[in-house]
Amino acid sequence: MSATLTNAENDPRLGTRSGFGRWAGVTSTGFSRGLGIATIVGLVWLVLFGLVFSPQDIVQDSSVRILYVHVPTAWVAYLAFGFTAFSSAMYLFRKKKSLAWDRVAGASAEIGVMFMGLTLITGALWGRLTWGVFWAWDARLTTTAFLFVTYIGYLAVRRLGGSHQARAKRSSIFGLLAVLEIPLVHFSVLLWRSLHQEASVANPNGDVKMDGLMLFSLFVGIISFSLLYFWLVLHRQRVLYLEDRYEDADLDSALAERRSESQAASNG
Amino acid sequence: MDDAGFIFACYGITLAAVLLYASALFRRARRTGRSAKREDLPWT
Repeated sequence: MSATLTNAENDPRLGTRSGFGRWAGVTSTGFSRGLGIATIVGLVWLVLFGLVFSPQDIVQDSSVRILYVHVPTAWVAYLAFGFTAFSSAMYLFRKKKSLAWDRVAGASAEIGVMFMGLTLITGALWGRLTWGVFWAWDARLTTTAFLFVTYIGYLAVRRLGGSHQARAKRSSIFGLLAVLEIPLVHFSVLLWRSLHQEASVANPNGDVKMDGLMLFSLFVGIISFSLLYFWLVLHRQRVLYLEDRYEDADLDSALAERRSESQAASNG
Repeated sequence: MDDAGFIFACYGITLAAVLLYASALFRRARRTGRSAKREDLPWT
């Protein structure tokens, strides 16, 4: 991928976009710009509610403010990996093998890895304040780290080379298998004795153990990070389309060169 | 570091990561899309 971008950067065949086109953004549309504005508004709300309006917790004190970021990032990572599996299934099981589904799967997984990484970092900061340590080999933490590494593996598998269809097929199978880890991560707090608390909102008995304003702040976090996820996926899969198209054009021109060389040799 | 330091680190790292990713994404879009004509792109 980086080689492609380096080639693209130095390729004399590619011109430079000038004027408004350069700044308007190749992957932007009216809808994506609207979504981007809604995302920024949501994130500003999150900062205000998380840092200013939300009260301190009786037990956790100020450290509860970290949860307004930590829980939404974990939720978005689950959502992203779930969407990767859905898109992988759409690629594998539909009659028409559309690479668009594969690109959505790849984009979603990449963004999910970023959010999973943020979940681990923000969780470590919260753990240091609450438990006194950044990391413990607890069931929830360990399975989350395992999920993170699995999807880094998924991204590595996507870059193994070969045709776009071969990439799509192998990564779709990987995407469908990897998603099975999510229930293991989510229910790890129930399956094993865990230091990590059980779900305060999404628990099986529907008992919400949070104050109204705290719950609202968490809700703002979940909505704004979900909007951010959809906005990033929209752009990322469009960039993947451009990269695929560039690679195809590169391959076509290399083939044409070889053909003309062999023709010249046979004529000479 | 006190509680406030950890809380600001949490918000700061998250926002910085998102901004870095988004800016890298748009740089990529500009590079790979230099030769693209907007009317040829499927999303326009």
